Formats: sequence, structure tokens, C-alpha cells
Amino acid sequence: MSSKITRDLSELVTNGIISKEIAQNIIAYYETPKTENSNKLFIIFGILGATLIGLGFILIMAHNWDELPRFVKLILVFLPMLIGQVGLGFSIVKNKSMLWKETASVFLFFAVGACIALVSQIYHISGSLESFLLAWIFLCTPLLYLTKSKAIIFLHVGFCTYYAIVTGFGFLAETSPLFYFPLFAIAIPRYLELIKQKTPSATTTLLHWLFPISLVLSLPVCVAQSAQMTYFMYMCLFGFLLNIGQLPYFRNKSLAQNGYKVAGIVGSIILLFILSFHDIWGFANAFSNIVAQEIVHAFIIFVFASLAFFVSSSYFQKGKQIRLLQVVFLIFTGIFFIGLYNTGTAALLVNVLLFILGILYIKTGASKLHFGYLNFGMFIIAALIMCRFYDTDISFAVRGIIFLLLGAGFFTANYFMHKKQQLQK
Amino acid sequence: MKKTYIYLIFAVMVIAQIGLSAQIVYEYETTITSGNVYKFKTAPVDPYDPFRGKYIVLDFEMDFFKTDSNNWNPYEKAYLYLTKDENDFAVIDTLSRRKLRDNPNDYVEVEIGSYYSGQIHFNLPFDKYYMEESKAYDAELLYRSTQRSDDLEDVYAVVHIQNDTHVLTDVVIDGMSIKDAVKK
Repeated sequence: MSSKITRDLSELVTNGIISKEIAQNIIAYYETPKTENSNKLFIIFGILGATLIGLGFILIMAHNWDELPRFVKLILVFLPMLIGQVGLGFSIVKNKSMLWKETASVFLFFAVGACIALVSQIYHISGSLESFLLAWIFLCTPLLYLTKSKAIIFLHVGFCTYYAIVTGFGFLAETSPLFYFPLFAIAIPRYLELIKQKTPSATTTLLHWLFPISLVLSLPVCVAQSAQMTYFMYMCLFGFLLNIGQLPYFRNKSLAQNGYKVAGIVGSIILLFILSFHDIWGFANAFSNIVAQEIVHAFIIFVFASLAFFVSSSYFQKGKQIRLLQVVFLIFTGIFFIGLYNTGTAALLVNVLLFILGILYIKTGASKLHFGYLNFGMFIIAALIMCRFYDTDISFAVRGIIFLLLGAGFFTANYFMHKKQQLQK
Repeated sequence: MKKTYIYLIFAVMVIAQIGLSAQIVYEYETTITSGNVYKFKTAPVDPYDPFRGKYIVLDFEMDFFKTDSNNWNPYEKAYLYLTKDENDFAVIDTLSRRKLRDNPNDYVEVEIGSYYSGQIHFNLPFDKYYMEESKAYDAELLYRSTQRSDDLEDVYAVVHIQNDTHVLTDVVIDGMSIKDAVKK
């Protein structure tokens, strides 16, 4: 127990705020060893240890010891996997603690990866990184459900994302959502299980970030080559994430605990700013063709976003005001179709949309006396004005004056808001 | 979840993990022991893989097939049928989109690159040779010096081929395995 608490307690007792008995109870509470916390710490160190050992083994074997005969190398490659399997089997049969289960699962995960990688090294198999990652993830998927290991959820989703990045990015990359999405979906029931637990944990909060980030990074697996379909799919994905972040479960959660909402808002706004440039629309239409597969993928993402909007707005939260950002993906769908025929109008509509969003946020900020909303709205308007500098030929002097006015606007709005807040107090 | 299901999933997972890796080992060992051995003239260069370590990339002399048919697409898969010359060097028999049942020769699956001036260019599937990390760069240097001394004929890859499997077992420079040549 810290000396500050001891000092404060004696002061509180002296001043008659709390009784001696309560002070003793508080001291007793702080001095009781926190078994749960120390267990958690052991588990974290266990996971870290298993991860480091697994990665260390991969690196040692990747040295490729020329002097060793092939069969010795094979034994060394299979041995860690067998040790991992025996360890995990033992922890399941004997129903050992979570420390055992987490450590054995993580160790086995890396041992399996090492085994596949090094067998292909021994036989000089030229297989691609994609096929290697896919085999690794696939063979370790059962670990998600065998021991209820939380670390495996992170490894599974992390490696699925790595696989999606390897397959989805790059020139002439082909669409490959068939493997990423089913493998990603397999982890969802485990995620929901953790969400249903009554005591909130840091793991669940981290997963609220990991899942949306994985989806954002992996979306290119749905794209063949078309830039305009990429924009549309991303807008729908951000709409989906934003609406998930509005579900009743997230209602009392802060932004730091709601990765869906943050990813949805930030992603939608950034994408709208990108699309507020006329050249972006022109370039997308001129240099890419839409493939039939992309239309199917975009439709599926749109349906998911619409469902998330329906659930978050009408079914669970009757009477609650719908925010414009929640329906931006629906409005953008209309703009997208206009943009296929008339890029100028589409860019103009995106500018109008951003302007309305900015004004609405300023209005909400002013009426709720909320500095966050007010400044966010002003940021949108200011950024919109700055972006338009690149489209038009305005002299530096005028640009400078506009910047000064914008800065002064920020100060004035915040000053009046502060005054108003103080008056209300 | 019921204990029985957990045991069942665990057993299936263990069998799949061991089975898949063991099946690869079995397939490649069988090819090494009983497959036909071919030599492919080549040139090595040295990059690395994050999981499998250092390797040399082999740039084969055999990388095109002369034909009049130009309806080939990049990244398409095709079957390259092979015969040998008197020194066991691989010689192209034919290139086909499908497996040829009446062709008794060995084949490997290749990836089509491009078609121009009557030649289909392709990539052979055994272009990585993993080496001890300290030796990969030296192997490339050794190859460069061999190239300068006009001994290119002496640099080749040894590949065992049987049915659908091929195993690259060695790269030879000047009559010596590249691993030993680098040590010298």
C-alpha cells in the first residue's frame, strides 16, 4: 500500500471523516495479496515467454544448419510441435490452470508455423508466403476453441490480417476473400463469448480495436483493380463499423474502448476528404474497370452495413436521434452512382456533405456545450476550406487571410462556449 | 463445450498438424530416392524469407518455349514436359495447358510469364535454394566470379522429379555442391 494512502487515512481518522475501524478495513484490503492480478501477470509472462521461445526457435532453424544431416533437421523441426501438442494435451486432460493452457497454445501455434516453414526450407519448396500463412492459420484454428485461450484470438486475427495484406495488396493482386473472411469469422463466437462476460477486461477492449482494424486493413482482398469500387467498399465498411460502434453494448463506453466508432468516424471523414477532390473521381473512372466479382463483394458489404444501421438505429434504440455519419454510407451510395456518369457533380456533392457534417457537429457542440463536437465540426469546415485551396487558383495573400480567419474562428468559438459553460454553472 | 468434443477436436488437430507435415516429408523423400534426376543450367542471386531464412534465387537458362500459338495469359499454369540430353541436362519436350496422358516423360507445373516473338516465357517452380545464412551472399559472389571466368556451363541445379512432385536437392558450381564451394 502506498504511503500516500496511509497518510491520508490517518488524516481522515484524525478529522473524524472515517472511523478507526473503517481505516483498518481499508488497510487490510490493500494488504491482502491480489491473487487474481498476480495470476494474470503470470499468464501474460507465460504467453510472452512462449512467443519468444517459438520465434527464437524459428530464427535458430532459419539459420539452416548445413552441417546437420536431413533426418536430424527433420527431428529438430518436428520435436517442438510434438512437445507443444503433448503440453497442450496434458493441460486439457488434467484441466490445468489458464497459465498452462495459454502458454501451451501459444507455443504450439509458433511450433506449427516453424514446422511448416522449416520442412519447406529443408526441401527447398518455392511455395508463396500466402500459401504458407494459410496452412499455418488453418492448422491452428482449432486452438481457438480447445482451451479458451485469449492470446490465440489475437494471434489468429493478427495472422489472418497478415495473410490478407500479403494477398490483397500489390500490383495485379487478385481478389481472395474466400479464405480471409471465413477464417476471420471463426474467431467471432470466441469474441462474443468474451463480450458476454460481465466483468469488462482489457483483453476485450483490445479486441474492440483489433477486429475493426483487421477489417480495415484486409478489405483490399475484395478488390481486383477498380479504384472507385475500393472507395465504395471502404465507405460501406466504415458505415458498418460506425453502426456497430453505436450498438447498445457500446453506449456507455468511452472512445478509447470503442474502436469501431473511432475507425468508422475517422475512416468516413478521411475518405470523404479524399473524394472531395475532383481529380480523384476523374482518375478512378479513367484508369480502372469494374470486375463482376467486385460488384458482388461491394453488394455484400453494403448489405452488412445496412443491417448494422438497421439494428443500431431502429431496433434497439427507438427514439434515439440518428446521426448523419451513421447514414453517410447510404448517401454516398447515391453519390457513387452519380460519379459513374458525372464526376464533377459527385465531387461537389461530397463537398456539400462534408460541409453539412461540419455544421451539424458545430450545432450539436453548441447546443450540448460539448467542446469535442464543436471543435470536430470546426475542424471539418476548416479542412474543407484548406482542401479547396488545391483545386482553385487563389493568391497566397488571400490564403493567408483565410487561415488567420479560421484560427480566429476557432479561438472565438471556444471562448464563447467556455463563457456559456461558466454562466450555466 | 463438452469434454468429448474437446478431445475430438484436439485429436483431429494433432493428426492434421503431424499428418500434413509428415505427408510433405514422405512425398519429397520418395521423390529424392526414386525420382529421375535432371540438371538445369542456372544463375543464383541472394535474398531472404522472414520465416525460412536465407536462400538464393535461381535464374534458369531454360525459361521459354518456342511456339506459334500466342493465346497464353500471364500467371496461367501449364505443364512443361522434359527429356534429358547425354549429360543429364534437362531439355524441353513440350509445353501444354493440360496433363498429357500419352506423354511418358516427366513434367513440372510452370507459371506462364509472357509471350513475344514466338516464345512463351515461363517460371520454373524450384527457383529457391535455402542456404546457411552466412553462405548465401558468398554463393552469389562465387557465382559471379564463375561467370566472369566463362565457366557458366558448370553452374546447374539438381532436381529430382516424380509424378507431381519435384525436389531441388543441390546447386553445383564447377563440379562441386555450392555449400562446399562456398567453404573453400
